[in-house]
Amino acid sequence: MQMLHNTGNAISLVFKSLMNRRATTALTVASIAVSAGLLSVVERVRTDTQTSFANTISGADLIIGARSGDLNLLLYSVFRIGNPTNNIAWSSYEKIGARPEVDWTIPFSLGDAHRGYRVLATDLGYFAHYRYADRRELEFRKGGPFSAASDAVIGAEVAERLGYDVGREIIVSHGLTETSFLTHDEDPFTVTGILARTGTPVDRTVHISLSGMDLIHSDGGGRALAPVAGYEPEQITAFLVGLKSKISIFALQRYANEFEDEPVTAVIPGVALQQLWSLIRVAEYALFGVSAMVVLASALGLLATLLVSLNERRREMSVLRSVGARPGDIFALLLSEAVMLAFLGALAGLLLIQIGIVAIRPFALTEFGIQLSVGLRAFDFYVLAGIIGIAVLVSVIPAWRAYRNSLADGLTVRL
Amino acid sequence: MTCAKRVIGHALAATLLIGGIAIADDARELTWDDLVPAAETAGQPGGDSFEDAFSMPAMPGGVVEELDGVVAKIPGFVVPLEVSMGGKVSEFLLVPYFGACIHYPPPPPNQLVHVLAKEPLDLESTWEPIWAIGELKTEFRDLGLATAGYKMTAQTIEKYEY
Repeated sequence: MQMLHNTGNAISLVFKSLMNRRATTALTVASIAVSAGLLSVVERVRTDTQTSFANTISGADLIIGARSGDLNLLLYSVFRIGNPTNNIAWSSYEKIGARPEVDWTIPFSLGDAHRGYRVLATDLGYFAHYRYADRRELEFRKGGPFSAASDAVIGAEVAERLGYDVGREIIVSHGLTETSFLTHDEDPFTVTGILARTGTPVDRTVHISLSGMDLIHSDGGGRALAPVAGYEPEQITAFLVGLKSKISIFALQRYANEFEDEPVTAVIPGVALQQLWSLIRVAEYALFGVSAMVVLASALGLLATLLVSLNERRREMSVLRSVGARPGDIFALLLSEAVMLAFLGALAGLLLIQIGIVAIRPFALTEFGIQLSVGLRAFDFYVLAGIIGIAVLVSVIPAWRAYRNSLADGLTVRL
Repeated sequence: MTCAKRVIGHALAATLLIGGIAIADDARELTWDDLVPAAETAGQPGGDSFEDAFSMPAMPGGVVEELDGVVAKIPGFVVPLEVSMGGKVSEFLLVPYFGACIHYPPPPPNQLVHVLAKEPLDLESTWEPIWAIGELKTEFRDLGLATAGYKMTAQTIEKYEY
């Protein structure tokens, strides 16, 4: 009788009883593990995706580009997803940039690629004003910004993947795919700097100057190298604007949206991101619903296993009763058995997805630009607690039946 | 997940409220009209009096200096400016009406509050109004066009219940 009232003994008893039924125990734990892992991974991918997107742009008040949708402009200019609709004239850029509310601007010119990595032509303001992840500045891991038209600054991942170092000559090709048959091979660029890792699309970008962009598109390639500073191309793709005061954000947005020289669109990055979230929220709810159903199914599986095991364990219960276990102890025994299964399953699931995440991390980063994080989070503990809670709830039924049986059955069970 | 997070969020908010209540109780509830100096209450935003969208200087949109330092509670819509970890909004403009961007002329500067949220906000949708509670600061910046405005460090942000 003392045996069951000593916690250590009680746990070891539960454990031994479970080990006696290894196969069903393992399967039950596995099904709980799958459901816990699924729930945790769905939530993790959601928050990591949002963080990856949100970290990419910081500190910029407006993105201005050719007239298109808010989301489209945000996606192609900052995330390098999809293609620009049109270019805007340099004169428009200058005119809007000269407004008194404007603090700084960064011009973007897109459209070329280097071995699958996008080429972004910009000016030196990019290295001074571009911010990511809560206003962090870009830093050089090696070298410095471009100073000549044929200089290039590469992101951390470009350097790592292609094994480039400062001084390396690279060739930029037209179009965005890995292989292009239109290479501007008469104009090689020289890598002058490598940026430190940011975890944003900057890592996957080759940066050149606006004059460099014109250089690769000029015929014959014999054009004199234009200087980097103060160079004025005919057009650019889009530009970022930083304002002196956030209060003037709507005024400038409206000025741009009603710009007379050509149709342009100005978006507030935060607002466009919010649109993106609300767009993908439907899919998130669906995924979350499915994962919740999987948890429910595994809880029902647990219930079924416990109920089935009751009959074959009547003798076990009787033996326990004969050595002094009270009916309440039998009830507690079954409950703790369910808790143990749920705990082991959820823990295994949560730990296994950590391994899974480590495995798919590089792929998620290069293919989708999503930085998945490793490590347990608050949400994982909610999953653990939730699954244990559900296990307690469903195991009340078999525990109650075992309790009733133990009252009715004698030592010799008539089956 | 959002649903689960919200439940948890509410539970957390409930515990945080114990700290927040003190501020919320002291806060002075302000309407958007309170933010406009008495001298210029005629012809407020949303009206069609704006011929040119850039005629803001014509209506200087001054601030009520007495509100500087007041702990205020203001209802409004969120225009996210800075989005941080997990897609939460840490910095936003509080505006009196939704869709301030396209359908109407921009609200004058005194009808905007630039809010820095102590606790980044998990914004469900931009259609959801909120209460922002915190100390109000008046700000004046001479940018060629007299731009004055309000700034707030929000201690608490509550969902607005109709």
